[in-house]
Amino acid sequence: MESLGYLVSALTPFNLALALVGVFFGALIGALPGLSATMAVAVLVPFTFAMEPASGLIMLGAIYTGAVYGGAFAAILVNTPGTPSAIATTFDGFPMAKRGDGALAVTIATMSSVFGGVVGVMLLLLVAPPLATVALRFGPPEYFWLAILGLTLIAALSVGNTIKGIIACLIGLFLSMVGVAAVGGDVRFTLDNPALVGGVNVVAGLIGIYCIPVLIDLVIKDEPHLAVKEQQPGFQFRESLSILLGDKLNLLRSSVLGTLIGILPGAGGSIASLVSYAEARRASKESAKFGTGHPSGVIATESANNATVGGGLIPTMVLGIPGTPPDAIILGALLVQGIKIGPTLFTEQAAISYTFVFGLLIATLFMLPVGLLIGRYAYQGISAIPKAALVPLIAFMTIIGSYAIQNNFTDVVLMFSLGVMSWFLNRAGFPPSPIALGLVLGSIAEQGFVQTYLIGAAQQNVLGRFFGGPISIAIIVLILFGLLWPILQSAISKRKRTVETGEAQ
Amino acid sequence: MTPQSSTLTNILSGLAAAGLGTFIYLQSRHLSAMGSVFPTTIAVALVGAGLLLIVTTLLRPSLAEGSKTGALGTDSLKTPGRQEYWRGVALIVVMIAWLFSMRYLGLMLSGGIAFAAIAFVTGYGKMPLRRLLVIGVCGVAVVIGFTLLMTQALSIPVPRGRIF
Repeated sequence: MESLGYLVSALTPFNLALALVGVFFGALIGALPGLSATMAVAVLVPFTFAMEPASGLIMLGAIYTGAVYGGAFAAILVNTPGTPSAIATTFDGFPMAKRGDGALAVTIATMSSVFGGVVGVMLLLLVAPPLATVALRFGPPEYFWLAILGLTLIAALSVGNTIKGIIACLIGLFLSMVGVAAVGGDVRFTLDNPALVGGVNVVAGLIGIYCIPVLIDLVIKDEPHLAVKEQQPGFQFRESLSILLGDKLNLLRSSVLGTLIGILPGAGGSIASLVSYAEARRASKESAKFGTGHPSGVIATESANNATVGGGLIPTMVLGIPGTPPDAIILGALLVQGIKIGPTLFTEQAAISYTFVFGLLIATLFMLPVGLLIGRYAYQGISAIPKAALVPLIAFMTIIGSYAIQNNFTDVVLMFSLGVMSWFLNRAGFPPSPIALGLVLGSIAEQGFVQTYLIGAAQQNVLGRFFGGPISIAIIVLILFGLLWPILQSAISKRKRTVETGEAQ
Repeated sequence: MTPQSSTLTNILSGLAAAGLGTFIYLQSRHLSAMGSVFPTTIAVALVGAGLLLIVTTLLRPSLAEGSKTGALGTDSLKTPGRQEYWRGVALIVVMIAWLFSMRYLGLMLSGGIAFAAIAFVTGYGKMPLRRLLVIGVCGVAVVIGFTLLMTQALSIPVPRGRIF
């Protein structure tokens, strides 16, 4: 009954308006490549200081969840992840848009995001303290194996030539090593150029790797950028709902995975969506169709990345350890509002914390009407814009977006250089996604590897450190299962066929 | 691409990968033990993967053509429509000029000029010149509006030049 009171507090017209406005602006900012969820929350955080704590936090949560979702628009409509967590949405979202199913892809992404967001918030509401303690048990070896689990996705990303996929991933890992080493502080691979000491910014790199090749291809090809069906099908709500219901296991699994990965500090939406995509592909009976515009790919990535919102808030609110960068800003806002973070947050300051969580839940639900409306007109709008206007507009957004990350001109130059390099590599058959994967996971893998090695060497038990922990073993089993499953699957189906042929004879 | 050119591309790609691996390995020798362990691993893997690519291409040339498509994100290779490469080269040249001029002219002016130039590169010969001009002029307005939105409403800095 007490919870019902907090729900009523969250339902005031002012809080509802804040949630709606927050989701709307968050989705718009998230849709623009380079303007991430972190930036959206950071830019708008000062406006919340004058508000009541719960109201201010509801607005921040709404902006955050809206921005994570907004990344899907650019991913689906122009093959460019609006935020890093939408990388994997490009794999199937853009092929769907290219064949004229862009509106359907956006609606599926919206509904999946809402579902994933609700699962994340419900887990935050119901099981935050025990889950937060699990996150504390993640040390360097567990992070290393988690990064390796993400890297095994190369197999899925490079159908046709795995060696090229591995090389592309190694190039991404190399890019992640440029600059000051995370452990030890060595300055590496800068070619004595001071501008490279800061390394390759992940977001700028992703904008370049995904955006610039798209621009070049749009310019050189004599064909429309998106297919448009003669009869505009509307929101396609029923069709999307039936697709989601038909794939409910994938939806639920991806949402839970997203929440669990979101809990891990530093992991974030990009890893969550990539791992969920890999799992969805692995479990699907139509795994060969992934990457050609299969709705299950969009369902997996979009439910997972929005589930990280609730997941990331679990360690933030219970332990004071932010799960993702936007959580760190929300944590700062909580502290500015005078809220004491810790396990007692949900008891001693229940009024604020529960109102915030219920507000986040309402904001997540608001994503449905807001997303459907924006999505419908965004698809129609982008498909109607002539290429001669769309190409310079995207080019302008890539420049301004990569500059805005750190107000650094070097990021713009790096973004463009990596983009041109990625286009050439793409022409030679090296896919861009493994490069992005290596760039995103490189620092996590290296940090985990070196720290585990150092701790193991100090304890004279390097192998024990790498392979000893129960969580490490569980992740290693998952990795092995993932790598061996296709071989097992083909052996099983071969055996089945042999038995069936024998029976027929 | 012909199978021969795909084979050549694969061999050159393999050599480039092995070369990059060698570069990383040589650079890593000057680093501390902590800073070099990961780069050395990547270097060895790159050299190995590069050589493996060359060997597999030479042993099974049919794989070279097949590997051009199939991977996620290699959409451009799957749709063999008419391609005008001069437009791509022109786009890259315009963007390089944009990046260099931005430091002198600032985002608004350089962005406006670049917007019009890219619109011209994309639409030249495909639509009437008057329509192209209208797009260019509208684009300049979009650039100015967006720059003002970023700087005035969202307080996000944009590149400033020496002139503006």
